[in-house]
Amino acid sequence: MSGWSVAVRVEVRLIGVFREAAGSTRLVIEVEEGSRLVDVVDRVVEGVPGLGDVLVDRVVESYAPNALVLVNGVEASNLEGPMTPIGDGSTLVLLPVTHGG
Amino acid sequence: MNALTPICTRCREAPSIYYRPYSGERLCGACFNESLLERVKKTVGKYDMFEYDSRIAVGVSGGKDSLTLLRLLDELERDRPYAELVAVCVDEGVTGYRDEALMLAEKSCRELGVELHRVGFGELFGETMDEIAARDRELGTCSYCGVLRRRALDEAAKAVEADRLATGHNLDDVAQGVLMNVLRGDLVRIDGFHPGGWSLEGFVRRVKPLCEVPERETTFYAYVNGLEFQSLPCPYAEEAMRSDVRRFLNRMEVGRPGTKFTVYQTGLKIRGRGGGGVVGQCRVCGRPARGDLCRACELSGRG
Repeated sequence: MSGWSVAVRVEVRLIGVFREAAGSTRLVIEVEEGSRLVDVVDRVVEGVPGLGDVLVDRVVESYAPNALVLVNGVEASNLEGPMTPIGDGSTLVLLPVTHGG
Repeated sequence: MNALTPICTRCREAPSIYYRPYSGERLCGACFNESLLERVKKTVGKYDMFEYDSRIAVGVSGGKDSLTLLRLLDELERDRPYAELVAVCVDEGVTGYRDEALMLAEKSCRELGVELHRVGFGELFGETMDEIAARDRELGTCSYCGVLRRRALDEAAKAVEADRLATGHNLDDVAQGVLMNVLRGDLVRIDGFHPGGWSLEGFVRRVKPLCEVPERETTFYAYVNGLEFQSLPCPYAEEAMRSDVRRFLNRMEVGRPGTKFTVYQTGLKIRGRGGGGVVGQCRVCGRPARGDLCRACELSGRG
């Protein structure tokens, strides 16, 4: 085996407080082939200072209490939750559950 | 693009896009919308929220809950030719925040052809939220805003001659309220909990048609239906206890789906039937009050 790893491109759209924390509405990142949703979220949080504070609930170490995550238009818990495989060209939407109003 | 999207458990035809852990349903977009409409219809019926000819003031803030409520009630009231909807909104005077929200509220009302009536803290109480936040005060900003906004919505509903005031409080809001009242030992509020509202002389009856719809679902509805809504929290938001309770319930709901419904149902079981402990009359505005001065007159310095 050669040990080559293949990268897949993922677009991440950020809404509300996540957009504010990231200072951007959209990020494009590359992750290793075979990555799961949790890997992509971890990568985004690592790369964007301040985002983890509003996205991740540190007590349960999960985004689930704070966010709806859509994977190609489907809410992630309707797939395999954090273990949902993320393919090349996927679009994730990170949508905060609590907004202003 | 997702390899294994389950089929909708309701229509058994279309691919599902949303999973409800508390019921096990997997829903396609059309069935998700339909199920929310049905739930609101059932809630309205259960609490006798409206008369067949009610003129319903819908409180719209520009947030996802109130715009979802406006959309769902507009759809429900199409089958009731004698009922009318009119939107009411409150400009608390939070520069840069409320301006955007009100613009979104106006846009949504225009799209649905619903009249919008606007009132402001400045004209009603002589002070905007920016001014209240900047001055010396005993309580947090949310305490002032919550009380004065409720009063302002009541004034607006009266101004448009509505007999009901519908607000966008969702299941999360009411479950948080129940738990906060228990934690504070506030027996009067526990006793007065009623999503269908009380008919009290001097107030327009306030109803909460979304009280059985989780916040995740109002959020998902607003997003997938392309509603443009205010997505940033208020800059003055500082309700520490509610934030703690919200975080706790959100964690519990992930691990134990249905927790919020249980808390809400418990609130219904332990409440009384006494009209929310309202026994007196405010000496300033004449409205029903828990003592001889209502909170709105007290906090706006009229007492």
